[in-house]
Amino acid sequence: MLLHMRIFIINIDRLGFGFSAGRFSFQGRNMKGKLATLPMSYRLAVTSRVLAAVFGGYLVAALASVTLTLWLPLSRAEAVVTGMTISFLVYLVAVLWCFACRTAWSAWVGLLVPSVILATISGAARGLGLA
Amino acid sequence: MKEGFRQAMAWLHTWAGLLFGWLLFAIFLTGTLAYFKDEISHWMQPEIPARSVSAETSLTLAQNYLQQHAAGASRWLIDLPDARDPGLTVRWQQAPANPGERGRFEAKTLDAQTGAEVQGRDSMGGEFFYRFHFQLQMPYPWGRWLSTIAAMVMFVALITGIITHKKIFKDFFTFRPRKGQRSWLDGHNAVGVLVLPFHLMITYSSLVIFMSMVMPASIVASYGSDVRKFYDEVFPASKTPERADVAAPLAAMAPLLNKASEQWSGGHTARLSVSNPGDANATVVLSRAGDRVVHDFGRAVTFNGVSGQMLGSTPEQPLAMAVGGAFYGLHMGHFAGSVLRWLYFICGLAGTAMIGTGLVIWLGKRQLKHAKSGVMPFELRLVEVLNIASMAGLVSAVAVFFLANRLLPVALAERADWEVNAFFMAWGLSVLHAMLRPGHKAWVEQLVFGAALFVAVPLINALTTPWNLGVALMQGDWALAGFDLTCLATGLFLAWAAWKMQRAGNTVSVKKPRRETPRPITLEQGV
Amino acid sequence: MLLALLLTYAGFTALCLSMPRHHDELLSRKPSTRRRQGLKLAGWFLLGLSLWAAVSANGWSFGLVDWFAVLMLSALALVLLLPYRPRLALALAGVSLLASPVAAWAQC
Repeated sequence: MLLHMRIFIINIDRLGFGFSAGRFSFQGRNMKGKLATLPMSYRLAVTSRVLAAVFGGYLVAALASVTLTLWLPLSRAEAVVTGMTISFLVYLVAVLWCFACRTAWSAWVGLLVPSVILATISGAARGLGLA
Repeated sequence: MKEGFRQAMAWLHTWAGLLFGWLLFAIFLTGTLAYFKDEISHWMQPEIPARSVSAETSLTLAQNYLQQHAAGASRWLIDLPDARDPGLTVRWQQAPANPGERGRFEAKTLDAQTGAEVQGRDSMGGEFFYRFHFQLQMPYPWGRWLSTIAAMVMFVALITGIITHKKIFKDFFTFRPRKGQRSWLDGHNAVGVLVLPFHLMITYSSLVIFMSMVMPASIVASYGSDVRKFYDEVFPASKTPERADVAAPLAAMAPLLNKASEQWSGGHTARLSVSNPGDANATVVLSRAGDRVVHDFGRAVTFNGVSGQMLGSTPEQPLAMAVGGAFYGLHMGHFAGSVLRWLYFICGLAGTAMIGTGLVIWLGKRQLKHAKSGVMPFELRLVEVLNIASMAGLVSAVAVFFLANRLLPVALAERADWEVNAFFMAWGLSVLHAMLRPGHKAWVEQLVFGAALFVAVPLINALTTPWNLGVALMQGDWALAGFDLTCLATGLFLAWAAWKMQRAGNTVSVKKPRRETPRPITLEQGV
Repeated sequence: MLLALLLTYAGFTALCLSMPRHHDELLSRKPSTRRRQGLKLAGWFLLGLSLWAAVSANGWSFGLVDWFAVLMLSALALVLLLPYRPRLALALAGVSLLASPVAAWAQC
């Protein structure tokens, strides 16, 4: 039995979600009924997005949680609980961003910029003695 | 731009769904069973009589027992019997060998009327499903981490599913059976969209429940190294004074029940937690029975263990904690009466079905391409084996767990562990079977086997114990009767599913693709 | 909970009928614009009424939970019945409407 190392190719038409081929159509593929192997660049890009989503997303969510906690005008425990509760929504948005953006690089940039901003705002809270 | 976004979300939904689908199916199925964990425990330990005794009597018996057997423990926990759980459970925790570690817990079930250790068969009962669905039989804390990660992936899958489902309103009432892949997708959409409030609630609440563990940044940022202070502020009742290292007898706790009830305008105590029994600074914390939707973590009454003096009753919890309490209460559903509990169960099954249909669809679409060549690539074969074992195999394992409860000798040592072992052995065998048999045959065989196992449960029950279905109905023991009947119904359902699968395999159904040359679309722009 | 369940089921059926495709499947003709609007209005009104029924029976916290529960249950029941027993699905909606005053009286 031949063991081909293949990556799954998504056939969006077969999924029946009802939308036409968008700007993500893959060029240079063998159409003769055989599944073409995806290039390494594709696999690297997807891996990059996944790493960005999982780890970068967690970072943004944690920073958002901390920022909320330090800035919300509530008692310490309440602010912590609120920050943590909301953090998962931030995580969700970060994950969606990592896969919706145009390139794998923009996934990372799109997470790094908010991270820096949130870190700055949190730091400011500490500096102002709000913590 | 919008087309690209939807496509990307569809890609994410497909992959997140596949990679975590098998685990999530197991979590959802066992979690759904956990809504009836007390009833399952009652069936699995039918020797424990469901007698109504006064809370004071039970508490006095528990205290006497613990005084005899656990005098040196650092903490006692007493769970009083209630309508669904007739057992009087006592647990005690030894002081940990090293600070910061968890002390070892011991648990015993007592007869609520006599205070003696129950001579029932040793079994985890429904608690097995409850604990499995968030601990995954893995050592602390890895199982919780994995299940919470799975919850986050579930959340992503739900939201991307909503985004991707273009005709979510147009197709709200659409279900077209007998149309092959189209029907599976309609079914997936139906159990997904129509039960969406439950799915969103259960998923987000599971994240909130473990948020202190997985998202601790805020705690550290706000409290630094004094994490203990955070927990004291969120759970004010858990703030107990340190040991005084002065011996002092623990006063009788039964009178405390009334005092607590007054604080709660008539509410009942479900659990007592005694810290440092036998010490001068012993404290008794009474927690209220879960009869409200918004669980109040802090709402407990604390007494000094020696003098019986009330140390504190917590004020109304602030909004942030109430929100957390709402998530916890909704997820656990402690407050639910029998009708609502069945609705919780149905919604849980819908969630399980949503995941299951998704896994079937994922494979089905790709299998079409290989139907003619007859050879399945390794990755698809892997998905097929995992689909069969994680769904049909898991269901059969549940039946084996129940059968083991009846078939294993009552006096067997480590009986409870062996019931669990039987569960996992059956699940493992189903993986082997799925690997050795061709996909379609494996499905049918496992479904038939599962059907036979479930139908066997009430039969074996009748053969090995006096608590059979007839007796249960006559005595009005609805939990016992309901259990046998539900197993029977499950067996019939699995038999029906096997029959449908068998028929579907006999007719060759090859859907003509809409275009002759379908264009695969990938996430990245081609380079 | 019964009143809320009857009202949500009837409400969902009305909303279902307000869609031309389903109206055609169930009643063998396309609805006029006025009928569509009327059915939509009736459907939403019944759903709102069911929320009031649930909350007035058990207060806000239990009531909201009950409401979502019957909402999901009635939607599932309707969608499962429609392809297999369309006439039964419609008949049940009619019965629900007729029975709801009785259920309302029993609740209060």
